[in-house]
Amino acid sequence: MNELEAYRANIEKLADLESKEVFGNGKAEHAMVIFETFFKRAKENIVIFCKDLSEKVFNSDNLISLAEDALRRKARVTILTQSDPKSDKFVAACSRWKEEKLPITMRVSKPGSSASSTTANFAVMDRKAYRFEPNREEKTAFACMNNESACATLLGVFSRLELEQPA
Amino acid sequence: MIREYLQSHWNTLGGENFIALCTGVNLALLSWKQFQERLRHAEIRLEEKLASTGASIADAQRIVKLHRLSKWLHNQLRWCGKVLWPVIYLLAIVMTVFGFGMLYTKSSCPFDFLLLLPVLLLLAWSWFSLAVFAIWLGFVRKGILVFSTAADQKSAETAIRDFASSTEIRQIPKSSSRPAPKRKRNQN
Repeated sequence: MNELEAYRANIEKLADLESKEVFGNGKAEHAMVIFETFFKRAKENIVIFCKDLSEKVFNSDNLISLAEDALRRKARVTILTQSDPKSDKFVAACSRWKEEKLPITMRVSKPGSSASSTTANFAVMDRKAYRFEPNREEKTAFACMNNESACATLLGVFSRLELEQPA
Repeated sequence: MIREYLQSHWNTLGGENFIALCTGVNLALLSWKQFQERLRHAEIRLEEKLASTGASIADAQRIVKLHRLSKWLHNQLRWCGKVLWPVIYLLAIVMTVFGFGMLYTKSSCPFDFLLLLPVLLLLAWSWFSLAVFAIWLGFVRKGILVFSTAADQKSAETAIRDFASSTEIRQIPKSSSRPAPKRKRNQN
């Protein structure tokens, strides 16, 4: 079992245990694993607030496939990026999913808004699991598979950031 | 005088019934189910901790196995410390006094040596538990500390709250310039 597989297994275990433990998620490949886990397990919704849908994270075929599975299970995916998305594969898939009327929304934040200038990024799954990156320049993200209060806080922030954006 | 005193109390308490009662209460309190539940809970916490700190599943399983026996005993010791040990030691003291009293007075009671047996068992159990507790502290805990590098829950939640409050403050002038953003968004 390589390091990434072990990491994935550990995250699955924490999710199964509904653990409140916080774990590190700074590396791009670790971020990819947690997004895959979110898409794999989402029942209701996933919100993602990130810089530009990094290729290292979102260009994974497995992640795109899991995202599609989530959408077909009617889990709503809402993505707000701070600048134009870089992951060509994921963006192309998004366009396809939108045409199929799957429940996905992807927007780029308005220049000058709070969303475009904040250095923090985050994602929330089912109001329960989150990934939070206080400062994306420092690569010090952490995540937790079961913390409803932290997720509620992040979802509140996401709503505010979304409200700033043009329709 | 002592002999009469001890014999009268021994007869009052009812000798063998007293021993049977003590042993029965002890076994009932140390029931397997109680400890199984506590053990499982402890194992889950350990697995969580190990997984959150990046230890491989194999590492986690190995440590959980090593942890199992010592944690079980540690739990019973902790629980006993709160509830049972005062009772056990009180009983042990009382029974030792009675036991030695019987031996000293050369009483005709047929339970002279049996009387000491539960006391010895209880003391042996307590020392064994203490030894395993020491192992738990020294070995398994060290294993946990080796892997403990992840952020703790409180600092994580604080970071999220700080971030939330910072975005809230920055947004005040923007939201004040847009009186009813929610309704506008819903219309769209």
